Amino acid sequence: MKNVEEFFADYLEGKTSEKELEDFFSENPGSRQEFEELKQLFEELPEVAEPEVSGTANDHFYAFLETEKSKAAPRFRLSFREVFRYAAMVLAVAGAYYFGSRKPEKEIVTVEKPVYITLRDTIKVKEEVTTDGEPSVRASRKQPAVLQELADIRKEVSQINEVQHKMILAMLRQESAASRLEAINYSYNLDVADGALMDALFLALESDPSVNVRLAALEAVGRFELSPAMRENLVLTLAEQRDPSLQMALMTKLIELREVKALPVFTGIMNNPDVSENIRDRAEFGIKVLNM
Amino acid sequence: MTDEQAMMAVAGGDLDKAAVLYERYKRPVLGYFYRSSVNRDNAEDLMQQVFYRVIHYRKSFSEGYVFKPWLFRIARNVFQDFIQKNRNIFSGLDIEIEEESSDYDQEQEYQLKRALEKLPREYREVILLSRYEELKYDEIAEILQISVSLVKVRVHRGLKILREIYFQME
Repeated sequence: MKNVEEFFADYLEGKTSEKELEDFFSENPGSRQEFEELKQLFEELPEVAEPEVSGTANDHFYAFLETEKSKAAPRFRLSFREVFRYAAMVLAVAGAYYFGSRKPEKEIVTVEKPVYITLRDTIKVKEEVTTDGEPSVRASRKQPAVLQELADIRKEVSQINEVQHKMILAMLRQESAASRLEAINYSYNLDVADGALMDALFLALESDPSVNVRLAALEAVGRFELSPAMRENLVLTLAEQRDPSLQMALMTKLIELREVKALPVFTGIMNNPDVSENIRDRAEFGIKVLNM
Repeated sequence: MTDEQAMMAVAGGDLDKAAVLYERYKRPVLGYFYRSSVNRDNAEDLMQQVFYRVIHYRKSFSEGYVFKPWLFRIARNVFQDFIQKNRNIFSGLDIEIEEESSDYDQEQEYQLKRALEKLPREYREVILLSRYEELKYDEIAEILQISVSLVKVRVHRGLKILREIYFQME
C-alpha cells in the first residue's frame, strides 16, 4: 500500500489510473484538493530559458577534445623518433660496412726509439710504426682522411634532416588533427626549417580546422628565425583570426617580436566592440608597447 | 545514434562522438547550473567541467547505463564540489534576480522563481530534475544515490514547502 507522498508522486507523473485515484480520494478525503493544488503549482513553475553557450566555452571544449584525442591516439605505427633512430642505425651500419670494406691497414703502434746524439747521450722519441716495425704512413694521410669522414657525417646529417622535413610535411597533410599536432611537435627537433616546412607551418597556422593545431603551429613558427615577410604573414593572420585564444597568442608573439607593422591590426581589435574585453585589453597593451 | 551508443563509442576510444553528446547536452547542463542559482560565468565553467569529466571518466560508462542520468550525476557532483568551495556564497542567496515586473503574470512568475530559490536544496534539486530535466524518479534516485521512495517523498514535501514559501511572499 502506497503512502500519500508516494501516491502523489505517481499521480504527478501520470502513473495512476482513474480508478486508483478515486479509491485513494475516497479513503483520504481532503487530499484531492491538495493534490490538484500541488500539481498546478508544479506545472506553473516558470520556464527558465536555457542560456546559449558562449563561443569561448565551445572553443575550450573542442581544444580539450583535440588534446585528449592526441593523447589517446593509437601508437601502432613508429613514432618519428623511432623512425629516425632506426634510420640513424641503418646509416651507421652502412657507414661501418663502407669503412670496414676498405683495404685493412697494418696495425700501428707507438714505440720508443733511441736517438743517438753523442756516444754517451741518447734520448728516446716516440714514433708510430706498424707491427712489422715499418714506419707508419698515417701521418702523411691523416688530415685528408679525417676531412673525408667529416664530410661523410655532414652528408648523413643533411640526409636525415631532409627525411625529417619530408616526414613532417607528409604528417601535416594528415586528416587526423592528432597526427598534425604530432608533426608540429616533431618540428621542435629541428634547428633550422626549410622554406617548404615554414610554408606548411604557416598554412596550418592560418587555416587548420583545429584551433589546437593552429596554436601549436604558431608556437612552432615562433621558434625559428622569421624573415620580414614571415612577420608580415603573422600580422595578416592576426587580422583574419576570430578565435580568441589564437588572437591572444598571436598578439603576444607580435609584441614579443616588437612588430610595429601590427599596430593598425591591434588598433582595429581594440576598437572592435564584438571582441571580448580581455582581447581588447591585450591589444591596447600591445599598442603601448609597440609605440615605446 | 542514441546517447548510449555515442557514449559507448567514446568509452571505446572514439572521442569524436563526445562532440555529438556535447552538442546535445551543453545547454541542458548549462541550464541545470543556471537554474540552481549559479551565475552565468560560473555556470559555464561548471558545464565545461562536466564534459571534461565525461571524457576523463569515459571508461566508467558501461553497457546498460543510461546516459542522461549518468551525465546529470556528474553534473550534480561538479555542483557539490562547487558548493564546497564556495560555502560563503551558498550560505545565503546568491541569485541573479531579474527586475521586478509590474505585469501580474510576470509578477507571479517572479515570485514563484524566488520561492523556488528559497526552497531547501534537497527538495529543490529533486523538483528541478523532475520538472526541467524531465527525469524519471528512478533516474533521479540514481543521480542522487537515494531510494526512489525518498525521491517521491521529497517531491511531495518539496512542493508543499514551496507552496508555503510562495504564500508567505505574497
